[in-house]
Amino acid sequence: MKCWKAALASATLTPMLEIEHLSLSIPSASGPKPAVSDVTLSLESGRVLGLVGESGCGKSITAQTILRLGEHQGIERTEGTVKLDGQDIFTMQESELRVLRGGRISMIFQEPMTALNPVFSIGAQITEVIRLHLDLTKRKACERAVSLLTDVGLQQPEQLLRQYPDSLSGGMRQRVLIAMAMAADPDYIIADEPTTALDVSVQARIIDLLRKLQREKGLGMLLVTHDFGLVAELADDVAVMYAGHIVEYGSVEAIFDHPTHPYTRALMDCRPEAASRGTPMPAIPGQVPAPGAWPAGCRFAPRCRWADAACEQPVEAEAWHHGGHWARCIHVAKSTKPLELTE
Amino acid sequence: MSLLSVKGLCKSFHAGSWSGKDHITRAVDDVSFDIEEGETLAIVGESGSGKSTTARIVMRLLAADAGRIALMGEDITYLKGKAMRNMRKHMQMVFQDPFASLNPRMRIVETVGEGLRVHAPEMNAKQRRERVIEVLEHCGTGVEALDRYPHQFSGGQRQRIGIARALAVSPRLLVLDEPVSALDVSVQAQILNLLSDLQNEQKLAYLFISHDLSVIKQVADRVAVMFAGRIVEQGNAEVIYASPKHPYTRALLDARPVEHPAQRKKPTDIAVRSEETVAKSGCAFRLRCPYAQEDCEAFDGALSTDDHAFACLHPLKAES
Repeated sequence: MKCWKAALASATLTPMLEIEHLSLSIPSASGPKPAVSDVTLSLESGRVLGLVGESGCGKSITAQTILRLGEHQGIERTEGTVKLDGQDIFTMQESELRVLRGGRISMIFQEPMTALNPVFSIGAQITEVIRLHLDLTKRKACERAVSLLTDVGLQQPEQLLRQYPDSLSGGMRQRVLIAMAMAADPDYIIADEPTTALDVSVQARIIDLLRKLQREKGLGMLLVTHDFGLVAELADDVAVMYAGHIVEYGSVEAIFDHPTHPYTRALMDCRPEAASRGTPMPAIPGQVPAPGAWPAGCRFAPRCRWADAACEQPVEAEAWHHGGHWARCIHVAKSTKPLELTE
Repeated sequence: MSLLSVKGLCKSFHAGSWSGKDHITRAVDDVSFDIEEGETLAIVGESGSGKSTTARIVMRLLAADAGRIALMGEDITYLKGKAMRNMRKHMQMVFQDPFASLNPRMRIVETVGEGLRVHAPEMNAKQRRERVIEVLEHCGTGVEALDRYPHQFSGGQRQRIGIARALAVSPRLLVLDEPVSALDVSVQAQILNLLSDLQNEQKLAYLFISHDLSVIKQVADRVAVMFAGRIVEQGNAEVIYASPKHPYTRALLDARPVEHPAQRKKPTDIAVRSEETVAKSGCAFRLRCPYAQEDCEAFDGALSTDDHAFACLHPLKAES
């Protein structure tokens, strides 16, 4: 039934999703502009990697490129590779990509309100995905749809199959989308801001659900988010992205206990949870530079209080490292003192 | 005399459906609150709780079915025409989406100065421009912004412009509907600091609508928690965060993501029991409430009259 899985079993490679030195450009009126530069990440099955950053730092297009989405929008790879179990996805044919997308790697999008087609029933949309990837009869596909919907905690799944998206709340739609993502038993899942559009109590339940599915099925998950709370809930490892490249990488404990890059520290400090009423919140002055308008040296330098003349030189990824924890900063010694970033 | 006093506000929406049945949603149901000068009252609730509808009614953008709104002692519930226009300069609104709430075809100087044309007709173009420069600088945006268009600004800068537009006519009350939820966390902090500075300088009162308890904790003097159109708990912000009385408030506080991975909780039962169910009779929250008992079915949802008011027959005890 799943020939690629058999092929995989005979291969000797460790199953792994690897992004190597990936650089991407986005189109603009004045020609392509670099949006992501030299991103290297790897995702093992059974682990959750949080990719954190503000809007415009390139985290979403990095995630989309794993499935080669966004090419029709003119997002181009200028360098690097994405390898799934050693196979370069940029050499894949369209037919192989169809197996890859939703079969081996699934995606959960941010907007549960727009990701479902309003004119097809929930049943039609789930069985479409199931039958695309698995060789099942209609009846068997319906049975599988029912069990998937049960897995994601939806009650009365048989009735739900006949309903249309407009009769579902945001939380229920997100569960349906998660069920669809699980339809073909993928090995990896890319969750792009999976709870951003949801209420806080619904978010808590979706977090529980993602954690349960990820553990039970041993999924590798790439969690793209701007929210350190979500990272604290779900991630094993964390990559912090700023202006198109990774500025810090480490285990979730390392990142929360010893945030090292000034950007990571500043971002954590300006979470409203971290501040107290009456005192000004530590904000980061200025804003993320636009794609292509990055400073030549350290890209965070214009907003960093520790920046000096030495920061005008490009900084290597592992300028500071300690075990598996590294930061792209030459002034770590200075910045690990308490930061007082204000506007 | 309170700056703003709202009493018994009600608003229902009718929605016809294909099946011919007429659905009535009680979006706002008997909502009352006061805001004093220089004070921030935050209304928190999930989507559909009626918090934005309340804000819109207070601004007279929607007509109330019942209830009274008094601004600076004057009843504005049914004011019309010129009388209402005169009152509007005392209350201004800041909207959630900084991308949709600025007219893309108007330059910033026109957008920010538009209120002055109505509320300060005696000003000439030069005076208006000076006033616009003054408020923009107050809001942390430079003079170079004046002749640009909204698309040339980032989300945080647009929200500063939205605040400047509201402040141009020197209001006493700002109604802020989710003013930072569309912004990145670093920019969010900048805007919250700006709001706090402006409040201290100008003794502004804020009606702050948000779904984010962490943000509210930063800004609010008092908090009103809304559920299914009703205020279920209201009182001093610190008291409510430290010892909520209503189980819904507790549930909202507990649902926030943890701050550190070491605090992760054990996964709970994931089945959707009643994720967004609202009871039709009795206490609206009882179907989701872990403390619900039989008498909750007959509870009328009335708010107690204490300083720390709550609408619950079985309030939570203070944590020891």
